[in-house]
Amino acid sequence: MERGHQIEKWFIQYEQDVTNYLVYYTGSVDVEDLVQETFLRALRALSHFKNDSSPKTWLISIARNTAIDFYRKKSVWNRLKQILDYESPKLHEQDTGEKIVRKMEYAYLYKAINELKPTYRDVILLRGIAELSSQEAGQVLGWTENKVNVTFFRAVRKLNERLKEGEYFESIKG
Amino acid sequence: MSQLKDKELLDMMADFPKHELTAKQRTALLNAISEAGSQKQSRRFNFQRLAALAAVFMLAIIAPILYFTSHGKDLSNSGSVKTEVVKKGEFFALIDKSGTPYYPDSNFGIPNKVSLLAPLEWIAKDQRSVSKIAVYLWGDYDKDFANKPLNITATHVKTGVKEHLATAVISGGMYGADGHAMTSFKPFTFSGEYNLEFMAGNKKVGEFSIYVMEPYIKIGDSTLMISQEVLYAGFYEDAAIEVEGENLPPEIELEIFDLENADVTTFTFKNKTDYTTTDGKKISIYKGDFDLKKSGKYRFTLLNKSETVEVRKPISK
Repeated sequence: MERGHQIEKWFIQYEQDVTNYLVYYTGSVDVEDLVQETFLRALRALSHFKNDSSPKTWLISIARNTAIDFYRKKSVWNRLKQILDYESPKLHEQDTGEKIVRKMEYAYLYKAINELKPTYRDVILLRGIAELSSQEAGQVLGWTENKVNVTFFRAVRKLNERLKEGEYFESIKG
Repeated sequence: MSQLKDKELLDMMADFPKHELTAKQRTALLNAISEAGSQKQSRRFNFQRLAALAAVFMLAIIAPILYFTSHGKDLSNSGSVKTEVVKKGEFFALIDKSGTPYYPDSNFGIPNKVSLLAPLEWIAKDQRSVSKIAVYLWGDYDKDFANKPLNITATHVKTGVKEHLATAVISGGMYGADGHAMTSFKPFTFSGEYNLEFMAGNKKVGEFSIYVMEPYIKIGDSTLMISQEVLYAGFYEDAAIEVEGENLPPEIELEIFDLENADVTTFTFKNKTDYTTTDGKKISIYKGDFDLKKSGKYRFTLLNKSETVEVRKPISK
């Protein structure tokens, strides 16, 4: 199969996974450019793709690097943090009725995740949003499966502490 | 229940709202991928090999010359060959066939000739600001660009020193341009005005000038990511410090010692973010605030390394 066709096929299959991951990773819904850059990078690097990881894992890995490069290059890590801080409340400001309750749950949990240290946040987003296995998350981060599991365990413990500190727990658990 | 368990967290996150591109965005991106794929595909075989060979060949010739010129140029060229500044580039949007504008605030160059996606700041001796540069070219693709390497050179206006920045493969059109290339430049040696010249094969596509700022402040393996030339007295919020190395602490302290008044102030930088560069270097970025009460000479200390830093007074250009 030609390289272009292969990437087009993967775009159709995995665009939602990549877009969804980038939205939660950057905290912005405006990720069209990053999605495009992810697939163009994949096109350029297809000859390096080895079948020891799934296409989805590989694409998520490229998406993460693309986002990091973008924010590093623009020197706006701060902006990223600000976006993450302010994006969550907006999620529920626009909704009404029963949906608010659900969205507030997401917003609280998402805010607490974003307040974790980067490695914890990284592993939680890869496991929870990208829905990667421990082994796949390890491939993205360059970690062993065991390190992913240990870090994830610690991240969840820290998240629980934060949720308690912020009195969010009751809201989330209902 | 008082604890969120691993599986519960994953289940809750799986229930988060899902995001995807709109149908219009998907179509546009699919077209862009298709276009990029077909352009590369059709010319990939001979062209890439030719370009790679050309790059290796040119590097073999240019590397020793650059080495010797870079070691001798401070003396041999200082003030000797001043070059005229060519036309200054401008920011303009790339416009694709459907009329959609792209990168209006970062695409920089000469309209209908040559442009590139510029970083926020060009910084001397800094790889970050010159990595992953997209170059756009206008002309007849088959006649002007096909199977030709793109060579980019920079001439330092003040000294006349010429540096080869990159050799790249020219791919087909994108965002309304007739050719494009992705490359990384060699970092600029000096600060000041540079004339950039773009050659496709033996033919000059265009040239324009850019301004390169003085290097970031380096303290041992750490880099305070503020150009020396804009480090004035004042308060700096969320400044970034990049540190190369492994097993770094979650927080670091920047000690600023006022050499004129023997006054020491310490600032904590945290929010550590780690990443690994493509060449395998472990990097951590810390964020923090600091202030400099007045201009003058200071000693900056970070992770047991010190550097004397001059804080200048802003001058009118």
